[in-house]
Amino acid sequence: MPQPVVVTDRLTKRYGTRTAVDELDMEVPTGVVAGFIGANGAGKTTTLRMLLGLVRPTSGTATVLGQPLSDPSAYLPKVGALIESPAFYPGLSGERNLRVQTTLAGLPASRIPAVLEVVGLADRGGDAYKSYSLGMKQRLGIASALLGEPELLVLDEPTNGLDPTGIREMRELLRRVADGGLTVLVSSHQLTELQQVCDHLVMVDQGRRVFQGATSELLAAGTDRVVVATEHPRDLDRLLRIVLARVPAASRQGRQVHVPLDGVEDVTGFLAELNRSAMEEAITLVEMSVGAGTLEDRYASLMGAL
Amino acid sequence: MSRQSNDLSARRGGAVAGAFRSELVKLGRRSTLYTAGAVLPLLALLATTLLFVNAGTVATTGPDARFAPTLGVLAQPGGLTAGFNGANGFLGILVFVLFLTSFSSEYSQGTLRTLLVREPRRGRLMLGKLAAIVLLVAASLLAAEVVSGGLSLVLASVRDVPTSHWFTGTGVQQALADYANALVAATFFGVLGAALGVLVRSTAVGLAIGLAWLMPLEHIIENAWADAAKWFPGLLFDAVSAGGTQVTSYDRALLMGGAFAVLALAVGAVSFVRRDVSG
Repeated sequence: MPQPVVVTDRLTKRYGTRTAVDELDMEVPTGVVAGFIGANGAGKTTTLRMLLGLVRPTSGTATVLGQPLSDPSAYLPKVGALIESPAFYPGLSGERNLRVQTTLAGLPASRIPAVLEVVGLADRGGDAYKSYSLGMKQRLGIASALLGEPELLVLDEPTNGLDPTGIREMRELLRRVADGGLTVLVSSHQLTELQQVCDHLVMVDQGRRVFQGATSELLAAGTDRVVVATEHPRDLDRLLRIVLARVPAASRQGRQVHVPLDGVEDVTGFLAELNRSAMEEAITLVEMSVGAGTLEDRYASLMGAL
Repeated sequence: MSRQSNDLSARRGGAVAGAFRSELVKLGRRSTLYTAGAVLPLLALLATTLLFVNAGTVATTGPDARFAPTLGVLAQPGGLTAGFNGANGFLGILVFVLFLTSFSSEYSQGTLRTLLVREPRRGRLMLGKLAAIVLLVAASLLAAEVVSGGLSLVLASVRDVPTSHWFTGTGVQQALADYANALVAATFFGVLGAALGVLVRSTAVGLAIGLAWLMPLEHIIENAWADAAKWFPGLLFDAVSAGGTQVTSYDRALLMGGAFAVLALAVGAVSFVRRDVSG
């Protein structure tokens, strides 16, 4: 079995009295697309910055591609990264920005048109970076990360600020890149997106690991849920109150009420009772569908359990 | 020397050279080159014009004396670069600002983290960047001296200033010394600006602190205490540029100014290498 690409051992970062990353143990297996999940301030970006040699750990150790964190020059040539928002010189063209980097790292300039092609910016490479849309900037960030033909790609919130089309394009791009065989470690708030592209997940909360393993394993550990919708949206809050009396983990999501079925032994009986209660309150139900839980449900359930 | 240490030296040299060339790619955009290439020569042209227009037969004293030498003084071996020297009084601030913004903006734009992922050997990255900006300043100074010299020749014929001493051995030596002094002073100012940019990581804060100190504060103190010119970095750098002054000898200016520059470089380098990059 190949050695994991990233291994951290009690990795810790403190800023004064605040602990951003707290004795984090995590592993990213070779060749997977690994999702790094956590709320804002959970320590994701700080962890990624430590892995990239930008931030010094307070304690603990880690290896990236088998090399210790203390010697980033031994592994960073084989790592591509996009940390938070892409950062380039606004007055330079996309192409020239990439040339700054190939020159710095001693990479062949022939990589520039190749990566611009991969991210769909081949015809805009000569334009000033400041003229790019947010989606184009993110794609240039990915192009930059791919310049060195990395073995590990680290992407921090690559879908931040993107519209739905941009998010879909980014997902397709990630899929294309991952199909090339490299390992990807991607942090994101877009859990639905992560569920679609990630084989492996690391979930953190307050700097500590909450879950680590295959995406399928996490989803399988969850239970089904029922989605309920009413004829009139104004009835949703009243319906939610009825449901909460039986299932405290229920929540309103858009024009639906989602009810996790943890602890509900007789699902049919529960649905019948719910339907009767709704009728008594003069609420007309137009949908009651039982389905598998999503990553979002599992995330909420794990975080709620802490 | 062992093969291993040879390889290490080569890697170190490669990293500095890569950072140097990469900074040149960044600085090589047309607008940067036009701006940097034009400002110093334009200043030199202005100073040269003022010098020759104001030159009279009787020496002037007081604050205007700098741009009002006698025609006799302009005819001496240093006359060819007198205009260039006149501009150098303003050069330090410009170079200080250029270096400061070059480093502080890497933090504020977030581009430093992109660079450090490509080149994690931070000391070499800093050295390469500094060398590239010094090269830009050196080229700009050379252009300033050349255009100032050319204009001096034209204006000398207009004002009937004899130029026979300008192209003697002493005259050429003087021109070379003026260029060298301007470049050394510019490098000192630049290193100070870079160090401040790295320490405060903010262009606005860096400019506020740096300009407040170098422009009004040092000069206000100097007005009250003349010996300030022997101790304060900006005044010492100016003295290097001028080849020494009545208050500060050239040797003292070079030594003390150099010490300030080395100290600034050391503090800046420690900060650049050791501090987390979290912005």
